[in-house]
Amino acid sequence: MNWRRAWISGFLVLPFLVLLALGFGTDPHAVPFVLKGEPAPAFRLESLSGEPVSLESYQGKPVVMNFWASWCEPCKLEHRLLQNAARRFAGEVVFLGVVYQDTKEAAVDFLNKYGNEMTQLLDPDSKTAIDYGVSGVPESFFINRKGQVVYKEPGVLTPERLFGELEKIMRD
Amino acid sequence: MRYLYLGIIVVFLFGQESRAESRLTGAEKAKAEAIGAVLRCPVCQGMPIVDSPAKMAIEMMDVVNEKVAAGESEEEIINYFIGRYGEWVLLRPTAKGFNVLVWILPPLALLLAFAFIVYRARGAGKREAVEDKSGDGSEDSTLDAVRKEVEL
Repeated sequence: MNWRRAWISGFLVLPFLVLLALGFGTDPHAVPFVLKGEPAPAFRLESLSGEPVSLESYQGKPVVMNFWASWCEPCKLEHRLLQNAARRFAGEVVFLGVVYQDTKEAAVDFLNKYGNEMTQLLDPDSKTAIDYGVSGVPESFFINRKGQVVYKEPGVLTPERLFGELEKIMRD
Repeated sequence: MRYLYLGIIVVFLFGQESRAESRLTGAEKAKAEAIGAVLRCPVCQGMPIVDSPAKMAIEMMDVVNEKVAAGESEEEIINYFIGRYGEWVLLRPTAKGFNVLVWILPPLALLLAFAFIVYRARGAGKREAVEDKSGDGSEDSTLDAVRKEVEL
């Protein structure tokens, strides 16, 4: 075997293999979580009951913000989990739902059907969704008492993830 | 009637001008479109927000229009989106850090391939020359024999 040729070939091919391995290990469609540790973007939205709600009004409290839509099937999967958590941590953690690219009527119908323990907000032009870098629903953000975004779940929340992150934002 | 409904839908989807866009001058519109052409639509497959009919892209384009109308520079607007979606939002990654590889690797791979081809071609040429020189003449004697037979 020509060892010199084997070494040269290996030297040339190895960087490409490393790059390929790195590429296969990451999802090119996954939007990076750039708000980590940053102050949560401020907003002032109208709730489904017509009251103005701002993030500022929850200063000093941990907040969970969940972007959802009635047309989103995976949102139904995590809805009951979020409602249970909102009931269990009432007074300790603020649970906000943000209706994403949906009508008020459809959202109200959905909540009447599946129940609601959270403050639900309307974001008719998706400005708040864009401010948080939302790329689809469901998507949830965990904000600590200092008002910093500490975690983003870019999909359906599992009980382990939800309670684990709740513990963190309640402690910080 | 069916075509009328279709027409209404098409006008609704593509023909509507947002409030922010209608306030823009020609130059501002061109600036907003240029910015929209480099920003990736987060719910599409590698499409710029300026070309995408997706609601999310239209709403992102509205944000661009509003920021242009408010006098923000192209850099400020692009940085706002990078601050929300990371460099992922750029259809053309900046030539910084790890991204440099995207710009360097293709020409480097071409250069290496060219160098390899030249190296192999020269090697093959040398081998042929050596074989010609080291020939024992048996081929030539066979050829001579054949020639003689043909001439006869």
